[in-house]
Amino acid sequence: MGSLSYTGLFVLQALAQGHKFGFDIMDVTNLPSGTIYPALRRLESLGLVRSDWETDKDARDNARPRRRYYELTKPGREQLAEAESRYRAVSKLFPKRGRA
Amino acid sequence: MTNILLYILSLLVPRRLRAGWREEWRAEIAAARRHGALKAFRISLGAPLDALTSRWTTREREESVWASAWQGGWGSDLKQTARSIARSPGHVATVSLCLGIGIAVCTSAFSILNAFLYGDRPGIVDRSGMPRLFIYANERAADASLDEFAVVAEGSPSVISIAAEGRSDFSIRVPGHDPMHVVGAFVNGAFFQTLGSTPLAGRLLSPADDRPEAPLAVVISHAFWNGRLGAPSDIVGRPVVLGDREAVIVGVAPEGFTGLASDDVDGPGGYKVYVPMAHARTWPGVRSPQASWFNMAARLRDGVEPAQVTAEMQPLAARLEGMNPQRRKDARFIVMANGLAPGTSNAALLGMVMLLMSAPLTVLAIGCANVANLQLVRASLRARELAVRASLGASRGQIVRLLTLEAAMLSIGGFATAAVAITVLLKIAELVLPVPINVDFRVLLFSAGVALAIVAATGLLPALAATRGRTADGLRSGGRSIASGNSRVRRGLVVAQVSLCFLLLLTAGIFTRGLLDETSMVPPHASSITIAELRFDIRNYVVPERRRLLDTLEARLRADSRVANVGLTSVSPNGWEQSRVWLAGDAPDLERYEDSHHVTPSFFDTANITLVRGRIFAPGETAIVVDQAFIDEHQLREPVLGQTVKVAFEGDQQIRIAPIVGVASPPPGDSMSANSSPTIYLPLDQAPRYVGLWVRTPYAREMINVVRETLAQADPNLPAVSIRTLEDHYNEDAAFLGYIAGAASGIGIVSLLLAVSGLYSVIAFFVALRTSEFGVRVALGARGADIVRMVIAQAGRLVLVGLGVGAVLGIPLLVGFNATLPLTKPFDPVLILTVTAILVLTALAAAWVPARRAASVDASVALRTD
Repeated sequence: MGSLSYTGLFVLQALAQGHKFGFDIMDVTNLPSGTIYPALRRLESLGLVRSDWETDKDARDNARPRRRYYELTKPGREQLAEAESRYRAVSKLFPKRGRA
Repeated sequence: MTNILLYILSLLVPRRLRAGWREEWRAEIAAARRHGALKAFRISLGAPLDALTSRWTTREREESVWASAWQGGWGSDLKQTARSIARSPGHVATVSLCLGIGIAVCTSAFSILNAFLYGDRPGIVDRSGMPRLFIYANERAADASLDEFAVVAEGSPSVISIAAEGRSDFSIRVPGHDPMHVVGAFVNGAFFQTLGSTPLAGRLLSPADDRPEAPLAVVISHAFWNGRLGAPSDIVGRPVVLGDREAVIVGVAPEGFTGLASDDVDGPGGYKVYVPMAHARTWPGVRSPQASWFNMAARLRDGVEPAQVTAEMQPLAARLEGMNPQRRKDARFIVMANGLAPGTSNAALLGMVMLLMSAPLTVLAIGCANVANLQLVRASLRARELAVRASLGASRGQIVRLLTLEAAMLSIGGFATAAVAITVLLKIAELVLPVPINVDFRVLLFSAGVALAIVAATGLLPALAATRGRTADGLRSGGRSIASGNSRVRRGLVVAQVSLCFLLLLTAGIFTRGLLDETSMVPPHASSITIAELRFDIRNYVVPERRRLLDTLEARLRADSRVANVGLTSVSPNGWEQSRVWLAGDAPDLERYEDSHHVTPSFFDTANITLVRGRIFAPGETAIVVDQAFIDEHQLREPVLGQTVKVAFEGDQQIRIAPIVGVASPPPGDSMSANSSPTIYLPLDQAPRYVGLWVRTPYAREMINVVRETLAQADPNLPAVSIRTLEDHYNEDAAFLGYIAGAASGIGIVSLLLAVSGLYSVIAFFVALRTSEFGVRVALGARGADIVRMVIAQAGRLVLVGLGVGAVLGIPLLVGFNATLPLTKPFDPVLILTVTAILVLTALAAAWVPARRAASVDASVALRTD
């Protein structure tokens, strides 16, 4: 498994805080989209993150294209926990997402 | 617009992820738009970078996708295949063996033939680029005479150089050794250079040696240096006496080198000494400069076609015609690949190749039929298993993958067996045959390809048919519907196997019978006759000298109390000689030739030839003895004795008028006696170039040394060509047929085993399929013997049909054998019945085992079976 960059750590933390959607993550981390999406792909390929598509029904109900949601996997959570124990401030980086 | 841009950008994304990527970005941009156009613009800036980097950022995921596919797909299939194969080791072993043997026999046979026809020879570089050269005139191809080669050697622009060799007999005296008779060759100066040979020691002959005034330099063969001379290290430069001329050994030819035409390395026919051609013209006793006795081979420039050489050398051919207008009428040169005689017509060539190659190809066919049968049986048995897989959600692709893997694993087993078998067969062949043999990879690929196709087709097709939307059928029938579907194919395959096997066994039987006949032709008295063969032309003897020497030899041998009689003949035990004969009333230009033997009066008794009537001619008398076949052939009227015959024998232009004074019985055990070839016996007055000295004695083998010593005392300078018993001569004749018979028998036995195993598998399958039926029959009161009879009858029907087909196919084969191999007796009812009996009995024995199994079926168990 490759080493985790700060960007990766931020993305993991944002996901842990419940920001499951690319735009949300960009919004909360304030990182540019050209950084967020490649980071998500990389984290997914490392097995730290997994993605799932919103159901057609939900997308239709909200009159929007189907979204792709990301969430932490078990290794992702462990990786994040290890990073948080090393960098105490990480857990306080982003606020928890409120209910949509 | 956004969609179009996303579509264009998505082209950068790996195809597998493209659709998802577009959809995700559409959703992202739509979400951002809700927060304003600026946010939407900001987020869309990431799309190009994401598209660009997606190939790398998703790589590990792709790899993991493959890994999971492996774990869930091929890997699992491999595991399942391995499990399935482990469950049926008998099937795997039989298929591997059948495939392996088929491929190995086919590849080895073709490799051996290829090695003979086109293969490399030790000491010759790129033999395939060095075709043979013949002079074609009067509708036949010929080698060159000494005079003609002087013209041919001029060559053409397409020809780099030409090699020529002419076989001859030599006597050689090497200091420290007894005089020896050896076979050698006169070769031209460019001979070794054309062949690209490099010497083992010293140097080879060059154009400088090939001049009449040059000192006589000779090259000896490795076999002669090593075997006869004891491999002396100082051989180069050693003086020898060749014939009656002083010569110097200048070098040793490479090991295994046999020249152009001979394949005999160590045997009596292999060249032991190479002598410059320039000396041939004046060599005592050598063939005339007009006789065609020089084999030629041309080293061609790269890319030159034979037709081009023929065209370029046409002026030379015209000169040859000018030298001898009758014999070389419309002469032209022909260039032939090695190993094939140019006189061979296409039909004869095709027949020969068919005959030689049909046996190994038939073994391959039987092997493949066997594999097909086994695979079909297995497919039938697995129909239910595949139906279960399909019903549990396995796609047809997955089933195909599983079966492909199985076919691949079976093929690997077959190829491994073939590799081992080819190695063993070629090792054995190398022990027997004098040429280096390399595996012919074209044949290997062909036979392996055929085998692979059979395995794949018979493994995949029935199973695919079984899973084609009839899962319920498969589940219901327990495979029986599939079994009935291909049972006709399987029966057809068994019939084909039996008929092919019958043909192969018949061929093997014909050759083996030929061998037995040939061996049985050795008459009892052959072990009590010692023959010393003398050639006077290897020394410059004048006729009175020859006569004196023969008289001395005869007298000394007769003085030995162990010797019963001594006789002389002009014909070697393995050879023949003919004389032109005119009977009373024949026109002078009539050309009638008959077998003739010039013999001394005592030869008749020595060779156990008895006189039916009349008497033997006296020494010096001009008279002949004929045999009964001669009388029958020419329908001579009685009284035969006293009739005069005009005879002119080969090499003697003088025509003699001789009365018939006696009628002889056919020579005992003569191979020609069966055909009753007419023979005449003439008095051996003058000593011809060849003389066979026959000694009748109960101690024939011990007398070999006595005869050798007597000869050495009479003339130490005249080595005998050979001193052997008559029995040895017969055995040598039988040896070649023995090889063929051995190979044919081996192939026949292999094919029998293959065909029988095929029959066994089919009968065993039928029995397994009818288990419940047998159970019902037993429950209804059938006895074990009834069941056995029923199963055997089923097998018997297949064998009988196979034999019928084999008999129909066999008739042209037998006719072909009859035409091409006159010594064999193809239409031999005993042989045909024996082969049939062997096949039927072995086949029924193969059916017996499953029949017994069927008879022992427990009714209650069988009825519980699905």
